[in-house]
Parts: sequence; structure tokens; C-alpha cells
Amino acid sequence: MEKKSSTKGQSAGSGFLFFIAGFVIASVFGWVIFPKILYSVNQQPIKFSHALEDHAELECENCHFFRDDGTYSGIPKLETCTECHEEVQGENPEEKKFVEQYVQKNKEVPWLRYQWQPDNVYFSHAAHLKVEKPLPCTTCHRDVKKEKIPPPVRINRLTGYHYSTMKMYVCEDCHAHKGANNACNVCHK
Amino acid sequence: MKINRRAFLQFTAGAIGGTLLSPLPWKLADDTAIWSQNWSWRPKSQPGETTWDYSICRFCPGGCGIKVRLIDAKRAVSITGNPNSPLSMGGLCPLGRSGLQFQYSPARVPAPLKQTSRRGDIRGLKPISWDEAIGEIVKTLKKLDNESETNAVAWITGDTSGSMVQFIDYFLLNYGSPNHFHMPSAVDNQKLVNMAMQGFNQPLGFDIERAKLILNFGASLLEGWGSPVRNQKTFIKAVQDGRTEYIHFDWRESITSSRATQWIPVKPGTQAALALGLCHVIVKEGLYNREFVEANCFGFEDWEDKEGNKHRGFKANVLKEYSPSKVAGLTGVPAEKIAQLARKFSKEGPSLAIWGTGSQNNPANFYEEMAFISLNALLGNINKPGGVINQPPVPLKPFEEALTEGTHRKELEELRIGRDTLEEFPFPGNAIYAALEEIAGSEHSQVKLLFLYEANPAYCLAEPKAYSEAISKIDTVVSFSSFLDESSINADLILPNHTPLERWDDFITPATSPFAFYGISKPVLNPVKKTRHTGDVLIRIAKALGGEIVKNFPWSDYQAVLKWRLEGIAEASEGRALEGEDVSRVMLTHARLEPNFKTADELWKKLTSGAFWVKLPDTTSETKFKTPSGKLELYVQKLKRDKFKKWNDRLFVANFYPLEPSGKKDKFPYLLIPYEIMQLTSCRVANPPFMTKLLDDTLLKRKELFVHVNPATAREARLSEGARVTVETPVGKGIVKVHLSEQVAPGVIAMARGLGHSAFDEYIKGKGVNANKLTEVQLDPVTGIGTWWATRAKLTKL
Repeated sequence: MEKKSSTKGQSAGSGFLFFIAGFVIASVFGWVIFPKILYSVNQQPIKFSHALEDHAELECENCHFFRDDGTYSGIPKLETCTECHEEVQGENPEEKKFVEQYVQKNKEVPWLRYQWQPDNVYFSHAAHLKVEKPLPCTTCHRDVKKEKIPPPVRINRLTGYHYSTMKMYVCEDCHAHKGANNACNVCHK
Repeated sequence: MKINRRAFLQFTAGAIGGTLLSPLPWKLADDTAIWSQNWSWRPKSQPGETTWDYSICRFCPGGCGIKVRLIDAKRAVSITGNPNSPLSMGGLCPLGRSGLQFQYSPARVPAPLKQTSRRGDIRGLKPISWDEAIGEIVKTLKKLDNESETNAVAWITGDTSGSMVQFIDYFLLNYGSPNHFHMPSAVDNQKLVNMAMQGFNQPLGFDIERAKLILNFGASLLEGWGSPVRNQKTFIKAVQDGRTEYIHFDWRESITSSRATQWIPVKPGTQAALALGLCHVIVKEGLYNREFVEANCFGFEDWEDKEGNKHRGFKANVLKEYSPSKVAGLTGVPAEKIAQLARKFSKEGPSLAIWGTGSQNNPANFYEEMAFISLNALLGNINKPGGVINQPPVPLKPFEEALTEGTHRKELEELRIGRDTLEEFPFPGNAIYAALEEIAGSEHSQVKLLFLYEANPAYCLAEPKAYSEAISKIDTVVSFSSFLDESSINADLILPNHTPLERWDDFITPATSPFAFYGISKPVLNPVKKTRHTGDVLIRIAKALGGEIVKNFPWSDYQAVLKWRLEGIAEASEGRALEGEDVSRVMLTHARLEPNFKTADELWKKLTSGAFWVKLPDTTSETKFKTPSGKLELYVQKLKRDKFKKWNDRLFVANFYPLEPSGKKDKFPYLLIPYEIMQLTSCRVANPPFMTKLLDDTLLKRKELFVHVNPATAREARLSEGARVTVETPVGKGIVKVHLSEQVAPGVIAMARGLGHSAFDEYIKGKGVNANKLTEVQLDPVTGIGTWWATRAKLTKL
């Protein structure tokens, strides 16, 4: 009997250790290793600098503008960049690379996108900007004012979305707080 | 420390706990829910700037204006109707809306292909370069020319709605061959009857806008007749405005009949008898337009010719042969109803009688159309508001003006294939069947090189074996098709044309339109395959042939040809380039359309940016008929030929002479009648997936086609709903299923046209049965045109 109970006590102590070990290993895997496996890390083809010292005289709207029909242009096309960078202007090697590889070959830069919504979502930039109290861009996008090098683009291998792609609850939450319509057909036409 | 079972379980419990408190399961669950949104093979919407460009749809002879939505001006994502089009007025049919599925179809011909194995082997078709392909054709053409066999070249054209058909004619004329045939069309016969009765070699238009009462003798007004969308739109407007009452006579309850004020079922193929029954009552009761008939019609009364022979006129014939009681027996419409309809038709003006079948690829028989024109003529309904209209011609510059020296067109006519067969007919027309028959029947075919332009005779011709038997005797078949259709697969060389969205083309007045129409269809996309415009290829071939031909082809490309032809309209200074004016309203208010252009360049600019040229018919002045009598001939003198002296007077006036289907009634007790619907194209292209989705389960289920049979007929044949049967006719057979439907007349097997393809893509290939293969063609005794309407058939249960 005695022998049996001492075995039980010893087992309970080391059992806890096993439990902790399992817990720690799984946590490390779940929090650290799993995200590294889940997301592929990609670099932009050109390290474009949004920083004010590089594109100081420009407003956001110079490159990210609304078209005449009210749609939003999003990432600028080569045409927009070429307006200034038809030839190399500074000493930034990335600019040289851009001019040589894309401008001179008249090839669109295959920019990687950080934010995009599924086809079943109808998102209008105009509805958020061409209003009385426009939302600042940074409500949804990262602040790029000081960004010399664009962050790596981390794409979810399973879903194909970027890790910072906004989910539906974010939209709903903001709509609820601002008193905007939250009906399904506002976004899902 | 020993790792035993207990330790393992404790470790596992810890791991589960750790996992549950980490993002792993929750993130995976969330991701799995949206996993399917970005599958690489799933089509995604393209980001980019949206623009719209304008053109004309070319998938049927309707001529609807289209508006194409483009992303970054290079990828087309949707096609809708152009509201400025005076024909389609912003509407578009399912086929036009599916245009992009043809553009990006897996059945597109990627590059010039040459058959390296036997004909029909799709794997034997190997890509070659354009230089090689054109070189090969030039070599063969030169060889035939050196052997003085230029008439060994023949051509079949399917798209006759633009200048290309005349350009091909011009090319062949220069080369020295008269053998240009086109696929059968409803206007083939109509033009001849119009030529015989009125002296105009034009299809007829119908002023539906201004008619108060329309009697429709079987035309699918709302399902593909003439210019389909125009007819739908005009009809809907007229009904909504409460202007029009519409009575429909047909053997099948279709969408068209369901929209009618009255649908009066008639026995299949007897509409012409009914029209003559109405003529009888109108004449007998003196309800006809005496003034018009006396001044403008020839042969109404009995008459005497120069030699003093007495002839029986239209009046005596119709009074003798078509009493309401007799017509009631033929048509199944009660005699009292016939009299009532005749009185209504002659009282409430303007009244219009229209006729025809489904889409425009089936010529009627000669006497049938005579009956309907005669009925309209009795009321003076010719070139009048709300009447039958002779379409004004479009004054494009004729190609003959480009000839630098005279050619011997008449001599060439002597060399035409099918001529021997057609000599047996007093008023010969489209000779495609006669030609195919002669080629198939000859030991050494006169034709050695056959070209196909926008034509798929191996599928579309009724009794398509007429084509396959003929090409077995022809050395080389060259197809210009953009798609791997039945005819291209059986060709030796394919020189793919650009698709309609990639090429320059034009569109000349469609059938049934009361006004003259001209539009330019321009490329809205860059070619996505290694294709070339057939017009450009012809110019290159002509230049490579050398000699005198070169001078006759002064154009750099086909776009230049179109600009050159447009000079004709500018010089004539007629019509107007409409930029959104509602042509129906203009017609209703009897307003005039003044020219808004001075030069061809100015007109070209307008027509390539969404405008359309229109000229309204002259409905106010007297018509100058170009017949021997100078009048509209109810007794057609042009039918007189020395060879047919024995013809009696009955053969010169409208009569009910249906073409009797062959086969014995006891062996083939039913009539197989093909029909057409808007969701199923029977044109040269196969049904696109968008439209096939619209077909319901009583028409196509999985791969099986359903024929529609009246329940009474099914009882008689001991067939129940869904029974699998063999339909057999004297010309072919196929396995189908039966759907019982009160919508079709007893004794009829109604079969939809447009299925049973053996080519194109996986979405349509092998589905259903090709109704054309079961349909019998008969040569019309007057014109020699191959016509079809019903075929005797039997059903055998499997």
C-alpha cells in the first residue's frame, strides 16, 4: 500500500513537468513557429520609399487618386510613376533599377498588394473619403510617412491573403461605432 | 524519470492546452472558411481602370449595338447593349451577352493549323506560320490558274450581314470563279418573291412601330425572328403604349404566342392557306383597298395577254379555291373565325401581316411568301406607315468601282456549279444545295479548293451530309473560322480570323428592319491569339498572285476597304448618323432625318464612336414597281419561261402548295418539326456555357435532349414522361427522351435546334442530338432553294 502511494506522489510531480513541457512546446509552436510556416515572406520588386524626404512634394492623392468615374486607382500604374521618373533623377539604386527594368522596357511593376478584399465584397474608397468627415488613410492602412523601405509582404499560404488584410468584423465594428449602415447588402451586393 | 503511458498522456494534455491557447487552431479554422476564395484556377475580378467601348454584335444577323466594359483598355469583362443603337435600343440577347465566352473560349483556333493526318483528326492539326499558310494557298491558286481551272475554286460564306460577303465575291471575280455560295437564309426566298412581285431585289421590312393590328403567321417575333432584339423592343413598346393588337397563328405555344392578344393554334405548315382564306373573305365582301389594287396591282382581275390568251387572275383563283369552309379543313381554324379575322384585319388600319419561322436561316417556299405579300397588298399595305416596307438600299460604294478594267462576269456565270440543276427551275435562287449535290454526285469534282468564311455547314445545314459527301470529293478545304467547329475540324487548313471583338467589320440593314441601317463594328480588343483578319489575308493573297489583280486591290488593309465604301454614303448625302435619337419615335412622328455629315471622314468618325447611320423608308410617295407591268404583280409575269409553257394560271398566283414531306404516313406517322428558342443558338457558333445553364430540365438533362410531344400523341404511341426513344426520319435518327407537353400540336415531335455538336468545347460537345441531321431538305419547285419545315418521323421506345 505504502509503496503504491509513494509511486503515486512521484508520478504526480513528474506528470506536472510533462504537462508543462507539452504546454510550452505547443505554445512555442502555435505562437512562434506556426505563423512562420503559415506566411510566405515576399519582397516588393522595387524597394519604393514612401518617406517624405524622398517624395516630399507629393500628396497621397497625386499617386493614389480617384478616377473621373469615381473609382479609386489604388496602386499607381507605371504611367503615373513615369511622369517624374522617365529618367533616373537621384542616386537611389532602387530608382535606377526601376527605370532600367520597368520604365525603359515599358513593363508594369508587379507590385505586391498588402490589402485587398475578396470578390464578394464591394468596398468603395469614395464612400469613406468623399464625405463630409473623411477617414484618415491610416485608419485602415499603415502609416507610410517615414517608411524608407516597404515591409515584406506576408502572404497566407492557405488563403492567399496578406496577414494584415482586414476581416469583416473590423468593418462591422467601425460601422457600428460610427452609426453607418451594417446591412449585408451594403458590402455584399 | 520514466516515460510511461501516464507521462505520455500528461504531455499530450499539456500540448492540447498549449495549442488551444495559441492562435493555431483558431487561425486555421478561420482560414479554412475563406480558403476557397483565392484558388488559383478561380477567375478573379481584375483591378484597373474601367472604360467602355462600342461595337456591333456579330453572332447572329440581328445587328445589335454592344457596349463592352474593359479593364485598363485591354481585358474585356462584360458586354451589354448600346442604348444608342436604333436597332437594339440598349437591349441584348443572351447570345450577345455571352460574347466573351467566345472570345476566351477553349475552342479558339490558336494559330494557323494544317491537317497532317486524315481529315477530322483533331490531333493531326499542327500549327504552321502565317507565311507558310498563305504561301500554300497562293501556290494552289496559281497552279489552278495556270491550268485554266479558276472555276475549281468555290467559297461558302456564312456571315452575309456586312461587306465581307461582297469583298469575297469581288476577290473571286478577279480570280475568275463564280462559285460563291452562302449559307441558307430566310431572305433567299423573300428576295426572289419580292423581285418577282415588286421588282426589288431586297429583303422586306415590317413597320411594326406604326401598325395597329398585327397578324403573325408563325414568325417568332419575340424569339429570334429577323433582328431579334429590335423586334422584341418595338413590340413591347407598341403593346405598352396600347397601340397594337397582336394575333398569332402557330402550331406551338411559344413565348411569342403567350404574349399575343390571341393565340390561334393552326395545323403545322398551313399558315399560308389561312392567309388565302382571309383573302377570300376580304375579296368576296369587297373589304379590300379598291383604290390601291386598281391603280397599283396587276393580275387581280382576269386578264388577256397580247396574243389574246385569257388568264385567270388572283381574285377568281382565291374565290374558287379558298372558301372559309375549305380553309377551315386545312388549317383547323373554324370558318366563322376566319371570316371574323378577315373583317377585323381589313377594318382596323394600319394592319400588318407578318410571317416567317424562327431564326433567319430557313428559306420558305415560293408560294407561301406570295400568299402573305398578296394579303398585305389587298389592303394597300405596301410601303405605307404600318405596312410591309421595301428596305431602302444603303448607298455604299460598289466594289466594281475599284476594277481597273472590265471583267467578264457573264462568262463566269456560265461556269457556275449547280447551274445544270437549277436550269430545271423557273426562278432560281441560292444554289448551295444544288451545288453540293452536283459535287457529291460527280466522279471528278469540278471544285478542287473550297473556302469557308464564318460558315459551319458540317453542322448548320439541314441534312448536313450533303456537305460531308461533297467535301469527300474536294482536294482541299480551307476554313477561316476562329473556332474549332465541325467544319474546321474537317478542313485541311485553318487560317483563323480575328473574333468579332478583335476585327473591323460592318453591318448592313438586317432582315425585317423597315429602315436602312449601316454600322461599323470595330475592334475593341487586341487579338489574343495568332489570328489575322480574313479581309487582310485576301488582300495579301491578291497581291501575291500578281498580274492584273494587284491593281484592283489598292487597299492596304480591310479597314481601308470599309472607309473606301463609306465614301458612297457621303457622296449620296442620304440618311443621318444617329447619336442616340429614338428612331421609333422619329418614325411615329413622321419626322425626317437630315444628313449630319459632309465627308466620309466625318461619317467614319461618328460611326466608330457609337453612332449608326439610318435612312427612313419613303412611305409617302407612290412606289414605282420594277415589274413588267410596272405594278405589284399578284399574277407574276416574271415566272413565265419558254421551258414552262405548260404551266397553268394557278402557278402564277399565290396558292397553298406546301412541300409534302417524303416517307410513308404509315411508316412515319408523325411530323418532326425543329424549333428555336433564345437560350439555344442554332447559328454557326455553339451554345456558350452561360446560355446552356438557362436550358431547363425538360429540354436538356445531363447529355440527353427532350423532344416535346402532345400527351394525346404520347398515349397513342404508348409513351410516358421521360421515356427514352429513337426518333427516326427518312434521313436520319437519334436517341432522345420524351417530354409530354400540351404546348405542341398533336402528331408533332417538336425538337429544339442547336444541340448535338461534335466539336467546340467540353461544355457543349456531345450534348443532345443535332436536329439538322434528322431534317429533310427539299428543293423548292420554283426557285431550287433548299427548304425545310417538317420531316416525317416515327418514335420507337427503347
